[in-house]
Amino acid sequence: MIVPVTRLIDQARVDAYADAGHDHNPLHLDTPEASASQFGRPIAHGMLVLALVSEMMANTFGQRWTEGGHFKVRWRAPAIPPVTITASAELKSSSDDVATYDVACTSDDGTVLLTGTARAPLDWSADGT
Amino acid sequence: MPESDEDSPIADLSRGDQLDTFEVCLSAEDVAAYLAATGERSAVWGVSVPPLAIGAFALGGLMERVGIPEGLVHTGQEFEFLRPVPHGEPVEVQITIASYSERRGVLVAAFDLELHAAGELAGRGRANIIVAPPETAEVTA
Repeated sequence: MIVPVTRLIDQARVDAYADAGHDHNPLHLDTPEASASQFGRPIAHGMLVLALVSEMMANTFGQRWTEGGHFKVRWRAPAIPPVTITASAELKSSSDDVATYDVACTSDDGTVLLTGTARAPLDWSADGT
Repeated sequence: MPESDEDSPIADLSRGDQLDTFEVCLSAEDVAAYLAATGERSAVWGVSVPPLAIGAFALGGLMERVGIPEGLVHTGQEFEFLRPVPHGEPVEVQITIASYSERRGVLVAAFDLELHAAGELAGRGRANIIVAPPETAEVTA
């Protein structure tokens, strides 16, 4: 079972991500461009939302996530801080050597922000995950 | 500052184009800053770089090269991670324009990324974007 990851994404976290990831797209920051956008305020980086999915998979599969992990996602709605987001996964299929999950990120008001699939290699000899 | 679509280098791209290869290298300090920003705490990243962090830096490099046109929307992302990358190991980023089309003023493009470390393929992926007038953009990431 994959344990969901829940996190508050506030503007301070978005600002920190902009610095850490060298992504200063003004759409994500307190800028005139963000104010003039259709949302009227900054939105979180999509990659910051996606990071919750990667964290969730790494929590379960550890180093194996870096050795054959795969995901394919689409963003469905913007994450507007402050927002609490939960990344979750549901087993879609599994074989001897790989497990595939439907993954999603959902905001605390029920809005689906991201959907897709994630795949991770299985190593039954290690821990039977 | 976002550029207009016409001013951005993105307007000059065509399917099949390859951008000049560039390098990203995440130090232990870079990884710590990334993890502090995302809130992730896994001990796995004590030695190796979170693979999505490499992807984020690679995408940042892509945006530096093609500009951030006004109305840019990151609509989809695919990544496959093939090999752990230790802190401080340089990663070479190769980007190819996988698709590029414009219809009714909306640019739709996909960028294929290959990440090589120590001569091995460490990861690959595809980023999908659209560049639309703000009033028509439905999803923004």
